[in-house]
Amino acid sequence: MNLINICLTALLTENVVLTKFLGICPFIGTSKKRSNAIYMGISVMLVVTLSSIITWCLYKYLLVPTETEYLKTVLFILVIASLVQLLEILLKKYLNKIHQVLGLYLPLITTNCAVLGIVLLNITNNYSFVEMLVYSISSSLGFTFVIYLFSSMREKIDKNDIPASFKGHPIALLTAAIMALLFARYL
Amino acid sequence: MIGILIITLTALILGIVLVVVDNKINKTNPKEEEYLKRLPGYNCGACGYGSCAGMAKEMLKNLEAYKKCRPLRGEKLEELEKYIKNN
Repeated sequence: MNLINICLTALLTENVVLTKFLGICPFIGTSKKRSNAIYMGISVMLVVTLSSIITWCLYKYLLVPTETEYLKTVLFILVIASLVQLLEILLKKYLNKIHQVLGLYLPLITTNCAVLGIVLLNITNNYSFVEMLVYSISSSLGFTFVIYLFSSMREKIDKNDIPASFKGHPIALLTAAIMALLFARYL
Repeated sequence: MIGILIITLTALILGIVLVVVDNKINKTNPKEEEYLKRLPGYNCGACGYGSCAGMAKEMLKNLEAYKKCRPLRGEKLEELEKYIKNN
């Protein structure tokens, strides 16, 4: 029951992008096309899940026994950055098309605050291993879900007749604001 | 003290993993880079291989491919032909 609770909260009511406002940069940057959004979502999911597992283990079995918990930010960023680098090397070799489409936004996953946010929340919420796994997968799934939703909306919006001053990013930001209101149950 | 050790060791392990993976995966032929250096670098795609990097890759299979490069003229062309002859 607790696991389902964690999963649904992370996925919808406490969505990383729309209620915690983490990871806005790729949310706006790579949501012009649905395919880009999906690629970005899957890359973030991979990085989040792997880095959550590694950092949780590092924290529990290395930092806590040696009483060096204050090192967690530095250590976690190190792990995330290396994982992103690894993903970039692999994508460049095997899925070069995705590598070209995502471009600069791929290395920028390193500083995607959604990743560091989820990883740090795993620690502050004191999750067990299974809870941590569920939380990180469903949070990143929430990110993918929202970015996909947003990109399909943007594709439709671009086809419509909108005032020149609202074209491009302004209307995207307005859409994001309305989505955030919906997710916070204000509308 | 132990903090320094933990950070250093983790960074060392991560660095080793990254370097090993990169070396295993990106085994580029050194010749490919040499070809790329001597191509014009406009990435115009007129040759049909998409970019100069694509052309350099193709030249590994087919040495004559550089003749399809349109902007390659004069000194640069001579330089490339000289390199091909000497290797």
